Amino acid sequence: MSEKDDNELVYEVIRGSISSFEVLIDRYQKTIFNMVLKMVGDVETAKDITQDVFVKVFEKMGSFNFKYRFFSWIYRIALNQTLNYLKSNPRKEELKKAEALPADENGEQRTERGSLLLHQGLRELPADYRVLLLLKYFCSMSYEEISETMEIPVKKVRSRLFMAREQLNRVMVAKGFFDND
Amino acid sequence: MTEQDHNWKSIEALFDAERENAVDVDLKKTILNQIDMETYKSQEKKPEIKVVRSFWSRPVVRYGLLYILGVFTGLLLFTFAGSDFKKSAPDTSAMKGTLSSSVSFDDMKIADVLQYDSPLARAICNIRYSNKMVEIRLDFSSLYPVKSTLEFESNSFQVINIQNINVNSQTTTMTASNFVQINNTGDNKLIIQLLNKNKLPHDIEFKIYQNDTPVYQNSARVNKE
Repeated sequence: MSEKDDNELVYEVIRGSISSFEVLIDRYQKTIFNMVLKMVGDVETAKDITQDVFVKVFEKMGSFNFKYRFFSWIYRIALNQTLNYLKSNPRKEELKKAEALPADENGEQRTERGSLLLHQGLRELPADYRVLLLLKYFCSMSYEEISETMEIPVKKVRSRLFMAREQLNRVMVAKGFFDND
Repeated sequence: MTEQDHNWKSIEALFDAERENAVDVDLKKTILNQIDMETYKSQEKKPEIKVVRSFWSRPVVRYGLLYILGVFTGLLLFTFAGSDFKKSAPDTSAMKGTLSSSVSFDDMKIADVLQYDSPLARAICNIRYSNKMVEIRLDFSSLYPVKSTLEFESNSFQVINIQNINVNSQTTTMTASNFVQINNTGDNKLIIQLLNKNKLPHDIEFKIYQNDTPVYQNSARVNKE
């Protein structure tokens, strides 16, 4: 695996290196795909969006501004693609009914139930709260990195994240996630 | 730890589990297949943009042409308008306060040349005039101090200037509104210039005195026409 940093790879892609672009795909496809998946809730759609994101990144690579970090750029493109998709495709199907799973499950069942409830809970939040929570707790970004990706001040990131946490907490309570605790 | 914090810890643990159990995908082939290879090629072999100016649009050529055109136009103007320039030179005779606007002494009209020749003194008083000015050139020689005057009407003439071309230190001149007095000793040349105020015919009287008695008196008429 190449040890080159993202911006070096971008530079090489612009100069015509397709192998550098492959390295970038390897580096980001999993996180992008999973983040999109949590946003849209459908594997095939998530795959399509992820592919579109990388195609778009490739097409726009020439206009990349090197004073920014590549990851914030690609995440921003991914978020925009996903939000556009959500706008034009309102939810058609729900995930598996998590409520159908028994509350007194064993460990594996409990994790599966928690995961489904989390998916559902996230999908009940406004899109920008969902994005913030995913960037922070799924992509493990710092406040500064989220601020750069979403192009909003760090202060706003903190306050919105606080609100998003509160709301998710309430949703999870309502869904009975903590009933057995 | 509050209940809310405790709850959030549980949710965070769910996020961690999600991250650990993230679905692995390999979309590389599909992505590369989707990439427009034309875009790729164009990125790969981005031609360098060369600004090639046509010969006529090069700054050197354009400014050179402009310069030549300017010189040519200047020459044309000078050739055609130059002669008119001479012809249409303004009539400076009407200009006030400039001696240079007056015609030269040689081009002036002759009023008269008054001459006096005696053992006492010798004088040649050449009086000429133009529309603007009267100029008197006086050659005066006397062994001893001799007084002479040029008298005129103050309504018609006004002394502009008395130039002593060749005057020794013993000779003095004095002006008043209607006469110029010269106390001459030795050989002197003077130029007296008067403003020709109304261009009407008037006499200028030239007198030479001995013991305050005129020994010579003559006049010249200017503005005869």
